[in-house]
Amino acid sequence: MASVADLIPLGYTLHTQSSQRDTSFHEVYAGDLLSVVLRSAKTADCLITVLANLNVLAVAVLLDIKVVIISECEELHSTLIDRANQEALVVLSTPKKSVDIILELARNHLL
Amino acid sequence: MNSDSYKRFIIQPNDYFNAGSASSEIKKMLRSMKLSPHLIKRISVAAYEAEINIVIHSYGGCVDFKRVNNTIYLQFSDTGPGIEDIELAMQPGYSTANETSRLNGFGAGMGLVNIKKSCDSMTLISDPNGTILKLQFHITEETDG
Repeated sequence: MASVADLIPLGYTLHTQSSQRDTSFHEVYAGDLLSVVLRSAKTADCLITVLANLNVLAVAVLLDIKVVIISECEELHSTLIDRANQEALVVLSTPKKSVDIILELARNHLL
Repeated sequence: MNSDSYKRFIIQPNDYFNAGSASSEIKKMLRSMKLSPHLIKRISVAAYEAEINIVIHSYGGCVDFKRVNNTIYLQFSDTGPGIEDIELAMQPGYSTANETSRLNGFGAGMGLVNIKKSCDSMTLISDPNGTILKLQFHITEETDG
């Protein structure tokens, strides 16, 4: 199990409310095609994706995913952050690739 | 015996900003009915995929949500242009999604496949005037929270 607070020292940027630092997650799923995410991420509570749009948040809400990590991210639009806060979703971003995020989480015993 | 409930949600074409809002409202209704999380997820996934299909491919439409006793009915209707080849559209990986929808994470060609897997009954009829997708989900002892 990992918490959002574990990710911040590793260089991940928390964009949503700082009160969400205690949010924990048990299982991650990485994917960029939303139909595949819908099919396969049903037990995950953290989604890693390069997609930085509102549709990702809609899918996260439907699947009860609590944490979204946007990979290979340079900038996030404020509309996405506002929607995430409305939905009480945690959104983090990093310039790292999805595969490197998973390797890093495993290396740090967060998976 | 549960009381009947019915609601209609309008779905706008190419509205990626609000795409998923009908499915989100349906999920809230299902939660208020205290159905099992597994059944809620199945219905939510099917609803979202069907809603996105209307956003991406149609001139606009709606979804009608209805519960009668122990069955949830969803009917998605749009005003065209219709699915040219339903058999082909049902094949995993087949997609006619445009560049905009692919950039938004759609176009895997898994939408109708996911819908069919998620529901207990599916009827799809289409012509150039529009498409109607009818889905049923049975609430059983295993799925009733």
